[in-house]
Amino acid sequence: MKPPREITIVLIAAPQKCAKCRQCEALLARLQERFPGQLSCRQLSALEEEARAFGVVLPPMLIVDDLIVSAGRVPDEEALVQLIEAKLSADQSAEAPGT
Amino acid sequence: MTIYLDHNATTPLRPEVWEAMARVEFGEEPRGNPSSVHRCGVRAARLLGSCRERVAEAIGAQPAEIVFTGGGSEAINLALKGAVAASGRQAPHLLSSPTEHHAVLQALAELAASHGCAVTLCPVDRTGLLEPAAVAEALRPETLLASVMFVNNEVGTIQPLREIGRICREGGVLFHVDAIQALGKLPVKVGELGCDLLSLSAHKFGGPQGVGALYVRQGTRLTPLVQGGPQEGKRRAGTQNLAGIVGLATALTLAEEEREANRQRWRELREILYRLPRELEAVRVNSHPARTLPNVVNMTFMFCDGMSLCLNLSLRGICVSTSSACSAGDLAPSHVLKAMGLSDRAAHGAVRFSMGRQTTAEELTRVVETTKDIVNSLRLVTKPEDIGKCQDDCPCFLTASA
Repeated sequence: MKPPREITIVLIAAPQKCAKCRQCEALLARLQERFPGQLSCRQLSALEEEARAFGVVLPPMLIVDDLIVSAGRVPDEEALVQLIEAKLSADQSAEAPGT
Repeated sequence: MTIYLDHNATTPLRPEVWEAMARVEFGEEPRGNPSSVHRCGVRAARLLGSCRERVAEAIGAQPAEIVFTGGGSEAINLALKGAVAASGRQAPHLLSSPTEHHAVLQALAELAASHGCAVTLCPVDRTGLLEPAAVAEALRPETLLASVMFVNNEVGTIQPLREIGRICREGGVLFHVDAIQALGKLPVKVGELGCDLLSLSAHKFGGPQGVGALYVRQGTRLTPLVQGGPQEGKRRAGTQNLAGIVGLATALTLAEEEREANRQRWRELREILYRLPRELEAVRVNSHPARTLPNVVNMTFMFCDGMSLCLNLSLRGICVSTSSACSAGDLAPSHVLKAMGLSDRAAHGAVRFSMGRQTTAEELTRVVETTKDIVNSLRLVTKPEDIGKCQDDCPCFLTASA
């Protein structure tokens, strides 16, 4: 049986982190506690080449899998939880035998 | 593969245009200065003259009425500031609309500050249409000039310029038309518009960036913004950008040849984009239902942030435009949509799709499907009160990819 897929969350923060960037960091930490082993979270500086691949970068930017969830603001935590739960349950249904 | 739907921002340079420009720069003879008296200079001057004739012919003007500039914004600034300075009047009254491009609005603000000009911005309706009656009502005895755009760059609304031009003529008021989004897409004839000044820009119709022109009706007094030479009939000093001007003239000729065919194609193609308000809930088309240039479709996706939608489309290779702009940690809603009466939230949810001559039905179908997916996902994670918010505590900055 395949191990469950991890949901990737990328936070692109300003090099000199502003209050919102720090709030996003704290938000990521809480999400990791809530979904242990199910999230792969990492942080990029807005000046990094990889961050620039997203095009215009408006930090803090939060990207869940391939969806830019928010740019320039802190996303709503409960809405983010719902998105993650929806993705996890979609993955489980896709992997369920006979489906 | 990138799907480019931001042709109102700029259009790709046409290969034929690039070839014509390259012949100027890398021809058999060195590219001369049109002001020089030697053979290279004379060749350059002849080439410049033929470009001036082609541009004049396209808009129904005389060659001597064309002033080449370093782009559309410069043409607009020259028209407005040059006319006010040449009038010699103290604090004249100027008239325009709140949905004009920033080049007009900021030039007017500067004239208000530097020359004490009184500026009236006539209100537009919910589709961005400026009623000629509103212009007539706003005219004063001391009104010097009215400036109105032919086609709005964000929503595509076509203004009733003939009527406005007639009102200006009858009132003895100079009439400037910003035709930057119209040229190459609509017939633009200065005689029919009754305008004294008309601005255009090459990169909106397949030409190079950084070159434009201003039509100045014969007899219209204009003080140059740039001193230092007699070029352009003493109205714009500086050696002309010959390759750019050749590019402008070549692109304009091509765009004029294809104009009607493109418009007909865009009318058919935009029906694909109109699937979005039918297939997604809470989508508003912001453009005028009939008086709209068919290459533009501006829509508000309620409960969604236009900036986030734009970024996500970009991530999937689709380039569109959002009217909201990030400025010093704040997202400012589009001044055009605000003037049309949209709320901040509705304005922040707006996205502009602008087609070009190479846009295909297959591309638009992919855009519609991708947009639907992204909007549905974003609506899950967007709180209405967060739309357009950048909060006020962020030294937020904007950086484009290299």
